[in-house]
Amino acid sequence: MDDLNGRTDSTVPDDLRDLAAVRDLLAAPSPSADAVRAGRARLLAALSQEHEQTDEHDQTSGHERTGERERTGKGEGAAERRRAGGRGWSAPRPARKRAARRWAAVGTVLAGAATAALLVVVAVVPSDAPISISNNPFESAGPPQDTRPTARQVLLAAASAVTESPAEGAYWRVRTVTGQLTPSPDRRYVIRRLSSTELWLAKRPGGQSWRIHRYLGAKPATPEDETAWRAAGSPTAWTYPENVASFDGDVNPGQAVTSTPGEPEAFRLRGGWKGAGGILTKQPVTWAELRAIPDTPEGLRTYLEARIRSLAQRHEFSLDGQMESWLRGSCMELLNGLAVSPEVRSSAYQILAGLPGMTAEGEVTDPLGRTGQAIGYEADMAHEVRLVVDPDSGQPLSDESTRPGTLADGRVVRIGAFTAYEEIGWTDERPDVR
Amino acid sequence: MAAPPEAPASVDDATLIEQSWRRPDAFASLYDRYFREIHRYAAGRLGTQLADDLAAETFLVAFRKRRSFDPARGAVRPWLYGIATNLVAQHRRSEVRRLRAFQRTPLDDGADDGHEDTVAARVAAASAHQPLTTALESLPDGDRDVLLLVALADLSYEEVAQTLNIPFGTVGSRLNRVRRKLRAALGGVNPVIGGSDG
Repeated sequence: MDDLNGRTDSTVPDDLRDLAAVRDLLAAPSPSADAVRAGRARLLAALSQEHEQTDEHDQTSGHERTGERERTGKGEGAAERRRAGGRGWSAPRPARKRAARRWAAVGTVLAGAATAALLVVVAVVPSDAPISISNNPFESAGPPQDTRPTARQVLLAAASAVTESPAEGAYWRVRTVTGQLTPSPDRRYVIRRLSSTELWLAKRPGGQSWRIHRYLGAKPATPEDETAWRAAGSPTAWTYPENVASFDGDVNPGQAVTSTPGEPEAFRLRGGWKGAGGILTKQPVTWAELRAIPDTPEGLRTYLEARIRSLAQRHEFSLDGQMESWLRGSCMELLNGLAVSPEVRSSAYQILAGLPGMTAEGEVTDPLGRTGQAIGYEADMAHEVRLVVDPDSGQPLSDESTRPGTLADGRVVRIGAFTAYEEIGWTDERPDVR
Repeated sequence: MAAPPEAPASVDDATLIEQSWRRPDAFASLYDRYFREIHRYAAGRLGTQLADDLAAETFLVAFRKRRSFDPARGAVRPWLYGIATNLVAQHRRSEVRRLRAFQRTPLDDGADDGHEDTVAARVAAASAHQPLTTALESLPDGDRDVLLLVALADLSYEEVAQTLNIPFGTVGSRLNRVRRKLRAALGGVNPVIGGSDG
C-alpha cells in the first residue's frame, strides 16, 4: 500500500513542514467523553428503532430522521433542513438570537461622481506628499487612458478628502455586504450570493457588542448573466454536482444554493472583543488605544511598524519582505472599520499611496453600484485584489478578490468574492436583538 | 457468519456492516472503532462544537446507508470519511468562519470565553497564521478536502481516492498543487509557531 501522506511517492517533496503547519493550526483535541457518549446514544437509538422494524426494508430514505427524539447534550435548537430532501442537522449555535428588524434593501449609502472632484482635490494635496507630475491629469494631452489618475493620486485625493469628524455615538457600526461569484452548476451564467454583516461595537465600558449576519439571497451577477439565466428557465435554486473535482469554481459537492434570503442572526462578541473598538494588526484594540494612535503619516507608520514588529517578535515569524504587505493590511483595517480621527485616516491613505505595487484601474462601479476609483494590487495567491475608494469622501467602498473563469460558451467571467463597505460610523441606534 | 454479539475486533469492518443488515447492533462496533478519529477530523475543519454533532451524524447516516456500502469500491474507513466530508461540505460557511477567526481573533463566535491572558496569546498567535489561513480559505473545496484528509486524517492516497470518489492520480496532482500554494504562502514564516497557542 502507499504510505501515509505519500511519503513513498516521489512526486511529493520530502519537506512536510507545510502539512505539519496545517496540522498544527487545525488539529483538535479528541472528543470529550460526553460527546462520545452522546453520539453513541444517538446511534443506539437509531439501532433500536431499526430493531423494531419487522421487515427487511431499509426505511432510511426520504425525510425520516432517526434518532431525533433521542437528541442529547447541549440544548440544541430545532433541527434545520439543510437540503431539500436531505436530513436535517441541528448545529449547536453560540448565543444566538434573532434580530427581527429588516434592514433596508442594500443600496447606495455613499454616492459620488468621483472624477470631477478628484482633479480638484489632487491639486490641493499637501506639499509633503507630492503627486507625480508626469501623470498630472491637467497636463495630459495623451489618449484617455493616460489621463486617468495614478493609484497614488487617487489615494492622496482620498486622504485629503477625509475631513469630517463624525459625531460620537453609543455604537461604532460597520455594515458590510459580502458576495461570492460562482458559475451556475450548468456553467451558463454567474450566480452572485450576498450576505450582510453588521458589527456593533459598544462604546460604553462593559457594553455588549454584537455581530449580526444575514444571508441576502442569490441571483444572476450581471445583465448578461440574467439573460443566460432566463434562457435556462429562471431557476431559483441550484444544486451543484456531487463530483465537483473538475468544476472551476468555489463550490462544495452537492452544494445547494437558494435565491431566498435568510433571517438575521445575531452573535454576542466576547473574549478579546470585550471593550475593543475593533481589530488592528490582527489584534483587538481598545477605545483608548484607538484615540492614542499617532495621526501624522510618519508617526502612524512608525506606530504600525512597531506594532507589527512586536507581533512578529513575540511569535517568532519573519517579516522579511512582508512589512509592506502588513502595512497595507493595517491601513486597510484602519480605513475599513476603525473609529479613528480623520487625520489618522488621511495618514493611512498617504501610507498606502507610498507603497509599491498599487496600480490605478480608473473609474469603476463597485459591487453595490457605486462609482469609485479602483486600485489593484497583487494578492498573495492566484487572486487579483481590487480596492475601490471614493476620492470625494475618502471612504473605502469595496475590496474584491477575483480571478478569471470560463463559462460553457467560452465567455470569460470573474469569479471570486468581495466585501462592500456600506456604512462605517457612529450611531445612537441600538442593535435589534432579542 | 456466526459472529458473537460483541463483534470483537477480529471481525473486519466490512463484515460488521454486512452483519448489521440483520443485526443493527453490530454497527455499534464501527462507532467505537472510528468515532474518535472522525470527530478529530471534523473538529479540525469545523471546531469541536460542530464536530460533536457532525461526527455523531456521520454514523447515523452511515447506518442508514449501510446497505449501499460496496466493499468492492473501498474500505469502510474511507467510506465513513466520505460521509463526514459531505456533511462538512454543508457547513462551508462555518469552515470559512473558523479559518477567518484564526486570522482575526478566535473569540467572536462565543465559543471561547477564555481569560484575557490566554485570549491575548491566542489572538497574537493567530495573527502569525494569517498567510496559511488565507491560503487554506482560497483553496478550491476539492483541493482542501484532499489536503485535510491527508493532513488531519492521515489517509493514504488510495483512501483519499475512495473517500472522494476520484481517481488515484487526481489525488496526487491535487495534493501537489495545494502544497505548492501552501509553501508559497508560508514563505519565510516559521510554520512551527502554531502549536503553542493552546
